[in-house]
Amino acid sequence: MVRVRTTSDSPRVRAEAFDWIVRVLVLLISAAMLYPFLYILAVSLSASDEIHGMNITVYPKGLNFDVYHYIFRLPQIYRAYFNSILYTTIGTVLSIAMTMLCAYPLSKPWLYGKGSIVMFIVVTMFVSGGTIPMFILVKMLHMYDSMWALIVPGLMNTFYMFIALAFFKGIPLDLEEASYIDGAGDANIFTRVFLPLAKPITATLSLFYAVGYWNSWFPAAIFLIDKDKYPIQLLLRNMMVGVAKGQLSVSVVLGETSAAGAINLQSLNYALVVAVILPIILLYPFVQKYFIKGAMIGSLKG
Amino acid sequence: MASTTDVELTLASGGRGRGRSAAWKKIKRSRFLYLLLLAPVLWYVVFAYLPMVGVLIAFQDFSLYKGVFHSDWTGFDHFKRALTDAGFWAVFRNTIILGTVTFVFGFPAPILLALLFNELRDGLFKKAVQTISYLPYFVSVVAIVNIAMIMLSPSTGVVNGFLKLIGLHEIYFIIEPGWFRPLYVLINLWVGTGWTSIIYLAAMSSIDTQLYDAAKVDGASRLRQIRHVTLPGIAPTITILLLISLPSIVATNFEMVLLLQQPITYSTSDVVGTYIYRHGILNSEFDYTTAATVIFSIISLAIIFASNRIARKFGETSLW
Repeated sequence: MVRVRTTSDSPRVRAEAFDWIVRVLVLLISAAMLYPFLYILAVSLSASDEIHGMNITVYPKGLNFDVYHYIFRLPQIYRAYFNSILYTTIGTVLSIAMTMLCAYPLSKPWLYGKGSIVMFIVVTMFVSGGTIPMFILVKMLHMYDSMWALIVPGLMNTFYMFIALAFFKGIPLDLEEASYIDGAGDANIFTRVFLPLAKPITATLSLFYAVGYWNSWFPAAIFLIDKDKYPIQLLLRNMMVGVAKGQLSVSVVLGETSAAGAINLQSLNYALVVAVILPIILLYPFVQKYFIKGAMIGSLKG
Repeated sequence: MASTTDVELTLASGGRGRGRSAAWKKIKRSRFLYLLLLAPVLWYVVFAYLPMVGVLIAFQDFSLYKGVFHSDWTGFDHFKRALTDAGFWAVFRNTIILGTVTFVFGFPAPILLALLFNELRDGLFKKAVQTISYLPYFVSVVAIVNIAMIMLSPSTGVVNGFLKLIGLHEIYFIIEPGWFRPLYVLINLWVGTGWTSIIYLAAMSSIDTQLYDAAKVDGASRLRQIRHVTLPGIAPTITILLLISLPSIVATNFEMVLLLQQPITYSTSDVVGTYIYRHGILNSEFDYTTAATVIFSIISLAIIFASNRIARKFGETSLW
C-alpha cells in the first residue's frame, strides 16, 4: 500500500511544485512590466523633497495633487490635449472610411482588374520612397504646418486594409445576390448590408488607428511649427528633452506663462506622462478583446 | 458555388468570347465599385508611388524651389560621398548591431512568456497577468522612453536609488554609450514581449489536447510535455515568425532610438534612421540623405535575402 502511494503521489507533488514555479515566475515578470507605471504614478503624486531624497518606490510619499491641479489650467497643455483628441477623431474616421472604401470593392471576386489593383497596393508594403521624399512631398502639397500633414500621409495602413478585405471576403455572396433581387442598388448593398455586417472589424481597426494617432508624435515634430497646433505627445517629448537638459522652468517648453505657479518642469513632466497614458489605460480593459482579436487576425494573415 | 456563378451572371453578364467589349461591359457593371476605389487608389499614387519617384533626387543637386524635374543632375556624387563617409558606415554598423542584439533577445522572449502563460490554469490570475503584459504595447513611445528616463535619473530615479541603497555608485545611464544598447533592448522587451506572445498562445491553443493526454499516459512530466508536445506544436509558427522578423536585424525602432539617444552616446546610439533625420530633415541635405537611404536599402535587402536563405535551410534541416 505504501509503495502504491509513493509512486502515484510523487509526480503529483512534482506537478504541484511545477505549477507554483510557473506562477511565481509569471507573477515576477508581470510585476516588472507593471512597475514602471506604478512608479510614475507614485512620483507624480509625491512631494518634491521626497522625490529628490530618492524615497519613492511604489506608493506616493508626501501626497500632493498640486501638479494635477495646475496641469489643465495651463492653456498650452489643454490645447495640446484637445488637439490630440481632434486629430485622433478626424484621423480615425478618415482612415476607416478609406480602408473600407478600398477593401470592399477588392473583396468582390468579379471585380475586373482586381488582381492588378491588389498587386499595385501590395508593392507599397515592400517598397517605399523613405522619409525624405515624403517630407518633400508634404512640403510641396502645402500641408506643412497643418494638421493634415499628421493625418493624410499615413491615412491608410495597408496591413489593416487587407484584414478588412479578408473580413469582407468571409461574408457569403448569397447575401449580395438576395439584396440585389430585393431591388437594392449597389450603394445600398454597400452601406445597408455589408458595412453593418463589418461592425466587429470596423471596431477593431478603429481602435488600432485611434491608438496610432493618439500616440503619434514624429510627424508633428517635423511638420508643425505653430505651437498652438502641437499634439500632447509632442509637448510631452519637448518636456522630456527639457528635463534631460536639466531645465527647471516650465517656460522653456510652454513659453512664458504665469499660470504655472511654482510648478517646475520636472513635476509637470511626471504628471503629463500620466495624463497621456490615462486615456489608454482607462479604455484598455473594455476594448482589450478587440485588440487581441486584431492581433489574432494579424497573425493569421502574417 | 452555384450562387457565386449566379451573382456573376447577374452582375457581370457577358460572354468571355467577345474580348474587349466583354471586358468593358464587366467594368461598366462594376462602376460603383471603381467609384469607391477612386480615393484609395489616388492616395496610393500620391503617398506611396510619388515618393518612390522622389528617390530621383538622390541623383540631383536638389533644390526645393526648382523641384524634382528642374533640379540639376549630379549623377552618383551623393552615392560616392555616402560610400566614402566614415560617419555613414559607423551608423550602418550601429544599426546592424542594435538590430541583431534586439533580435537575439526579442525573438525568443515571447515564446518563453507564452510557454509560461500556457502552463497557467484559466482564471482570473491568468487573465490579469496577460492583460498587464499587453499593456505597454499601447502606450506611446514618448511616454515609454520618458518613464525609462525618469526611473534611470541619476538624481531622482528609483534605479539609482536602489544602487545607492546597496552601496554602489550611481550610474548616469542615459549618457553612457555602453548602456545604450542594453537599455534599448530592455525597453523593447518591456513593450513587445507580451503582445507578440499572443500569436504563440493562439498557436498553442490549437494543439490537439489528445497529444497531452497521450504524453501523460506515457508518464511525461510537464517539462517533457512542453518539449515534446508544445514546442513541436508551435514550430511552424516559430519558423514563420522567424522569417517575418529577420528583416528587423537591419531595422531599428527609429522613434525610440531618436528619443533615447543623446549626442554624447552617438558612438553606439546613432543609427541610419537618426543619421538621415539629422542630415536630411534638420540640415536639409535632402539629396545626400536620399542617396544614403538607397544604399542602406540595397544592402539591407541583400542581408535579408541572405539570412532568409540561411534560415530556410536551417529551418528545413534542424528546426525540429
